Amino acid sequence: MDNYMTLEIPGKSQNEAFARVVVAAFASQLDPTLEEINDIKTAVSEAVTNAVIHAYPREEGKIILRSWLNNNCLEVEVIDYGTGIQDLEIAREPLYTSRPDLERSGMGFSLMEKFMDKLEVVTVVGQGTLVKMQKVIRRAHGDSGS
Amino acid sequence: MKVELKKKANNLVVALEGELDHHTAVTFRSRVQKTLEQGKVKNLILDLSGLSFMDSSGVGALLGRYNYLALRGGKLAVYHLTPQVNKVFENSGLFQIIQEYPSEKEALQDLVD
Repeated sequence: MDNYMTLEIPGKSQNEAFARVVVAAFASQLDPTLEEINDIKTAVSEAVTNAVIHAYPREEGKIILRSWLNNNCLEVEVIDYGTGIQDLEIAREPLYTSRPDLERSGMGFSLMEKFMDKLEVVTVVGQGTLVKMQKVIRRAHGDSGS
Repeated sequence: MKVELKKKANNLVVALEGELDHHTAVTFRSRVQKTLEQGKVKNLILDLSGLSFMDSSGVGALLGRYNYLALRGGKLAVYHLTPQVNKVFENSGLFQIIQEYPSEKEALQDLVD
């Protein structure tokens, strides 16, 4: 393992920007392109926003971000101890939202999937959700890029 | 996030500066919606040159305005998208319902009644 970090934050909406900037800054050690940095920022923003809105709809709970750099790969976990997701298959479908009252687009999981190389979600109703994502930084370690 | 509004004929032109996410969408929604509900404008044109970041919460906020305008025969148009915002537009299907123009001038010309 080349490097790692952990961040614990309360599920406040102003922490969405903070969390995505922290992971992007951490990932910058792999010398990513601006597009790769933006992909990471977007995916982390989606996962953290889901936790803020859906995991803790009533009370404010904690969100933990863990991230690793392995060779040229960034791994991020976004963990909450909130409501969990009732039906994960439906939740991951594009345009689905459990909160149509909130002007949600239902594109969160789709964007995470498109902008990262790997997305895994583990959820237990009443206990919480773990979103695990990976992105390979193509330019890392002296590659000339693709 | 900065939201600057100006009226041009029956169009509302809004310049966004900063990042549009779940946290800042509240500001965008309330400022723009208030002006739309005064009923003196038909179309909404967004200048996105200063918008450095947008996620699916921003997509939801734009869709909300699109739906409001569509019910009243109005249109939502955008110009000067930054690369990250452009990629989110592409991957969320927003370009299928929101018209993009090269600049404010073309948008105003096209949206004139």
